[in-house]
Amino acid sequence: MRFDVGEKLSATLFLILLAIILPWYLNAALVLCLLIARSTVPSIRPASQVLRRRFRQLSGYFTIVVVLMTLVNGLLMEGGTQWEVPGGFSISRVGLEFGLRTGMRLLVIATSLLLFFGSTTIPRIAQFLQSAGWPVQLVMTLLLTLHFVETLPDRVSMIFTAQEARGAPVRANMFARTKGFFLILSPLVLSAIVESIDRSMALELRGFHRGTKLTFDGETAAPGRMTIVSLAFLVLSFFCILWIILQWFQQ
Amino acid sequence: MVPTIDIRSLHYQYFEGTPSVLTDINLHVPSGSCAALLGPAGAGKTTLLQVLSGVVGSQFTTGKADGRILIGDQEFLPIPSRVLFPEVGYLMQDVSVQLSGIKETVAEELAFSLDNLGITGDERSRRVSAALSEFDLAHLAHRAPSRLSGGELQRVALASLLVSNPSLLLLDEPISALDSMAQQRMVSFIRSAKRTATVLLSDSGIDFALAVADLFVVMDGGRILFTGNRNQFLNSLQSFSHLLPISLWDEVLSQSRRMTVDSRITRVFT
Repeated sequence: MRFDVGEKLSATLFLILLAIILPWYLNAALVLCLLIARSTVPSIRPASQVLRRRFRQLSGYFTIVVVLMTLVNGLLMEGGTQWEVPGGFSISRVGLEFGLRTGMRLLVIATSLLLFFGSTTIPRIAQFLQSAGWPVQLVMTLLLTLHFVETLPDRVSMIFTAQEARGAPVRANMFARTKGFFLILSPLVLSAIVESIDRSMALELRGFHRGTKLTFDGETAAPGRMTIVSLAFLVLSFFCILWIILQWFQQ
Repeated sequence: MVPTIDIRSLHYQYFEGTPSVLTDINLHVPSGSCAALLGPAGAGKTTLLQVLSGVVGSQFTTGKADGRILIGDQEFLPIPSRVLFPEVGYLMQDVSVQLSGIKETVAEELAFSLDNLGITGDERSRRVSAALSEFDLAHLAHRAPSRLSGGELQRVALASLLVSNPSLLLLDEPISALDSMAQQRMVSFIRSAKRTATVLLSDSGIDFALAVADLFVVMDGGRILFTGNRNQFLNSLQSFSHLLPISLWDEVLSQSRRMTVDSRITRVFT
């Protein structure tokens, strides 16, 4: 099964909306389905080893966030059945359910986005936006942003290595890592801005911005065509939005 | 047509009220020659190259300029307000930034400028193939640009400039990150490029410039301190010893300086 960028994008939109509608246990099932699909559907497999590794790391981080979110809500909220836990604390059923609901939503949204960006290279996204008729300036801005996000882990690792070489224990433990990350935040942002300016100059110097329509494939960009799959996902997304609006009115 | 560059009384500041980064620049670069802009960091070399490329006028709309620039038969009063593509090819100091970052293979990267020019079909393939073979990149044609070494990146960046046949080449510190083999290739490249383009390059040392340049321009603090040919430059070198680091300094300052420098350069770069 092969999906193009448009189909994947519309599927991602649908999944995000679905995450808002479904109860937590169905969202959990959806996450499992997405993880199975990641290994079996070629179009949504990570595009490289690096992306595969990052997908695993980020999925791990998000799972930890969901578990923490559920526990904290269970501890802080009151209502429903209360379970006593060691240390004199109690966990409420309502709090746990609220945490699970929010956390699983987050997990579905994160997994969908990770699957999309992990399996779609920046050139493919640019090509799609171009054929969809997006303004050149917007495509350029998006490219620069995506490029920055893509290189962010390497940049962080490079700065950490440099700090370690100077004796700072930035990778010693979780606390040191968090503290180190906040310390490098401003140089990271500054270097990203400088590189974005340079890169936008370079793109302009190579004719990216000439006022003509971009042609990434060396041919006149074909106008974007909507496939049946894209259309189906968009229609489903529309119904999801309608359902959400109706739910708001009922409340 | 290979253009002559003529700059008259050029002043430039990025924002009104801030100090000028270029002050009273007067420069004439004959068609098909190579001019080397020399000077320490902050001398204004990169800004001058960027002004000539049009990227300063295009991107820094807050800038204030005065003077006149003539590139071939195109007159700019005071500076180009749009990027002069494809007439001008600009090699950035950091070549990793030079590449688009949105192409999956080296061959596609080379074709990026051609795609933006709307050049398609056989002409596109012919130009890309020619650039690949000229820069010994044929074996890397299908490799991802992100997986190239520093020297390979430099070659890809240069090849990607030349596919659009620029008649003015602006090279910002082109050897700053190159090993001696790659520097040799750069010297050969600039010597052959002078047949089809006028070349302006910037460098903070003088060794490389002595190997390729016909015109030597010493800059500091946004001003041109000296303009002259090779002989005039060598005769005035001592006055710039505080600005230009040189590995051949002792020999340059010795009695037989010109012969020594020439022989060293011949040994190093040929």
